[in-house]
Amino acid sequence: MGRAPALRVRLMSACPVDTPPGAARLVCVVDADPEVRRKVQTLLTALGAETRGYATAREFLATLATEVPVCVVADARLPDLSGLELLEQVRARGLKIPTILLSTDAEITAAVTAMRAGAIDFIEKPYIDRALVTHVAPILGLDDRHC
Amino acid sequence: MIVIDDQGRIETFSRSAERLFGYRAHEILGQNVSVLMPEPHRSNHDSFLRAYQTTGQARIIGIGREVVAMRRDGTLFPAELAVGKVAGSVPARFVGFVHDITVRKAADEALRRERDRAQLYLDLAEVMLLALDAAGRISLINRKGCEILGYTEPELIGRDWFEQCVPQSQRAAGRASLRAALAGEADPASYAEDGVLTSKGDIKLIAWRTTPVSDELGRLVGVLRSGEDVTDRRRAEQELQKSESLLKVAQAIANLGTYEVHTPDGPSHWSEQVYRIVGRDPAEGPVPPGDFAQQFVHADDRAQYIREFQRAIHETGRLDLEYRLVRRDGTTRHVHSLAQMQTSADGQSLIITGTIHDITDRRLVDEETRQGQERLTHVARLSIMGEMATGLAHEINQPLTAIATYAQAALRMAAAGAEVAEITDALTQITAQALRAGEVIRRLRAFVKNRAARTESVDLNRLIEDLRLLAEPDARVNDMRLTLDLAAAVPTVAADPIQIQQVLLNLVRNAIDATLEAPTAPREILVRTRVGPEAVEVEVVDRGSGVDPAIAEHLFNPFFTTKAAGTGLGLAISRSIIRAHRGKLGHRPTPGGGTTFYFTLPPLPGG
Amino acid sequence: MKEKPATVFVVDDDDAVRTSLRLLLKSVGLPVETFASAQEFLDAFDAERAGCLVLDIRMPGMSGLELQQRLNEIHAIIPIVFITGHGDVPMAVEAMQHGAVDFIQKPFRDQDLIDRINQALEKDRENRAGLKERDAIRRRMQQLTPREREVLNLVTQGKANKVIAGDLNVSQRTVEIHRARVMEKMGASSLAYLVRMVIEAERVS
Repeated sequence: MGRAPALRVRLMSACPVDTPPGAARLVCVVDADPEVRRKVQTLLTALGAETRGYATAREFLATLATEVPVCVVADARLPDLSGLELLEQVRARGLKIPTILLSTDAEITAAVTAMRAGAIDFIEKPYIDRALVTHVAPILGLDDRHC
Repeated sequence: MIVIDDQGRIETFSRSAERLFGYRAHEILGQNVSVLMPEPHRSNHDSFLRAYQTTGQARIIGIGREVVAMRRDGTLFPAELAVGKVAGSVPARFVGFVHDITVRKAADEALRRERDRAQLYLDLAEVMLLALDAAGRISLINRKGCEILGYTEPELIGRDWFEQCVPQSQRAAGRASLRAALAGEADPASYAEDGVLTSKGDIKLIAWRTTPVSDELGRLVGVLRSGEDVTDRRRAEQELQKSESLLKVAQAIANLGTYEVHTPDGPSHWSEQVYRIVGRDPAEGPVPPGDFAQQFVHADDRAQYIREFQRAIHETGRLDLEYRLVRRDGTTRHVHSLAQMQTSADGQSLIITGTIHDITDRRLVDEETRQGQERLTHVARLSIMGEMATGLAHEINQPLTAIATYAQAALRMAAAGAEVAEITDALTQITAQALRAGEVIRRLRAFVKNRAARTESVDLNRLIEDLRLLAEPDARVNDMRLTLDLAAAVPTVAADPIQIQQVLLNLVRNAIDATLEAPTAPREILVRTRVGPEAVEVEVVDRGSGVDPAIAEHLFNPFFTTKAAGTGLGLAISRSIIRAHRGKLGHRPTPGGGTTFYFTLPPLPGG
Repeated sequence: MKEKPATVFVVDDDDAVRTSLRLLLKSVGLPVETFASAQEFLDAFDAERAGCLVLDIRMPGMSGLELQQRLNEIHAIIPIVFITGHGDVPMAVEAMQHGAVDFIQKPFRDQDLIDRINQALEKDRENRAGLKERDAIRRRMQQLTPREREVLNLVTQGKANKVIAGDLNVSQRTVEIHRARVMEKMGASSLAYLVRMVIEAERVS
């Protein structure tokens, strides 16, 4: 698996998505910054995802009882929990949800710890677009080539 | 009196004619009157007579005219001839009265010559001579006057002087002064400078002397004026004044004073600016030359000042010296003195002519410029270190890692009861690694330290080998190899080693960047020394992207950069460093691709 | 075939770091082999040898990340602990995504490194054990007849004997015999174990 495969991405035009009917398409975005949420949600929507945004880890964790997203995009430093703690809380519920952490001024140690805890990527803001496409498109059942 | 017939034959020749012409009447009677005339009058006479006979028109009848007559002995004389036709004579007879006018002629000639001479004097005079009658009309004007005014004499004679030749604004005053002169109120030889109006409309300034003229009855009937054109002289005087004041201003602006001093105790002159520079009241006058050093020259510079002055007086004849002055108020000025020594014409004294230039401000600016340049060089040095920081951090981190690891291993070995010898080995390694890190830091500190430039004799090969410790990590983290190719027996150069290292690091840095830009290029950077006939050359060779010809000419411009993080100062400062070392910094393509930057340094004599 | 003990392979271009690591790891009783470059290690690499790799990221020539990629390409399973003096987050994330056990910054606490190395060695043991088991299962599966393979597939899909008999157009009795043979050849004590073995066998390393 290449880390940053050359993708042909047209972000602003919604892709002709042929998601299998009934396939789960929910992606949750957890970030205290509404601007980041808006930006990431717009991008994910363009990829064909259904999105929900949350400002805190607790708000997000509370929803897990009723519905489980196919992917979580979370800030590594949330107001209530760290991204790593969020990851562990999800695990504690017996769930394995592919999780992408976003970070500004990250330490290598933090990134490595998150990866060891099961994050599928740890992205430095603001370079998030390409990485999101790389990870989320396959999760949504999209081939890279579709986008 | 001579009477002739219509054929011109002489019929009567009076006694006075006999005396006049030297003929006896019987000798001449019956002969043609033309014998009394020299050619060409003789031939003309016949034709006149014939013309009269046919037309009745007399050319000369009734008209007194001067002719030339010829005596019997052939001599000629001037004569006045009056011819009349004898009334009622048929055929016509003519009577001629001939007067010898030799004497009158001579008198006339003498008079004319006299007049001409007077006119000549008038005309030769390099002053304007002008006579005005009581009404102010021009009765006489000489050539010079005409020349000044730009008219011919006839254009002026009889014209109203004031209307014709005096500017409007001065006419009334002019007439008033003429009236005053005629009333005998003016100084008999009054002097005044007035403008005159030339034919071209220019105003010329004339210095006038005016004398009243009286007739034989003693009545004042006019004035005679002599006038000198002083336009140019006044202008020159004004210009001189202007240039003197300009010089004064210039001296003030340049803060340059001039002086002339006659030693041992002759007159001294200081320009105003000298007083200002040394801080002395001009009213006090110059200080005697012997006291100058004691009174004004800074104590630390005094001995040298006196020595140089003596040398100028006794040997070179010239002084060219910079020294400090201390003013009465205690302030110090830097001055530059230039002087020339000359023995006076009588050989009694020495004349010192010179300038004192206050260069304090320039000194301050120079100092600021130098400090600014040094600060800039230092900033550039810090900046390049910043660019190399990754490599250097690695270079320090490696020994630190080794130290930590050795130490921890040693602890474990000690806990496990290992032999002292084994632990000692780890400790030895720790020491070596600590020294290794320390060495990098020492070089780094020497390099980034803010220091004044200084020149030492430098072994370039050694300098480059020392530099490797700083330059190589940068190459290594960029996955490149730094190779040295040092010529044998490179002569010593006079240089500031840190500045030369700065230039080299800059060039290596650029070489690394150029190599990064060309991903397929050989990742190798070569630093080479070569010994040329006149200079030692250091080359930094890369196989990278090469210099785009479009930017080549800007390469050394300050703030020109192609790098995202570059200051654009590196090459500009490198070049100024090399120039300050009397060397040359340039670049050429590397054969096979890439760029070779090089600089030269002149070897130390005998180095 | 005499197996060598699990070895810690150290690859670092810095002599001092390499030597100090060797000393440290030996002091805790770990067999160590050191290499000055990625290529040197790759040349000596033997997939059969158990152990783990302590790998510097930035080296002249082949970098640590390049070596990881090359090892992945040849499906080498040796666990990697990266050590680096000046890595960055993307580099660390990439290394982890590509299967590194950890990414440790120099200088490090000896215990941290030793813990990671032990984890890596443990992972290697598991990997090898898993591989061994898979190999065993695959070998057993290869002893099945084509008909027995068919029955195995249908059984592990959860189909009843009667259904399988219908699918294969044989008697239910015949299916029962084949099924007993499969269980015996595969060494499976229960249907659940059989299913687990099949899943394991189909896993790609």
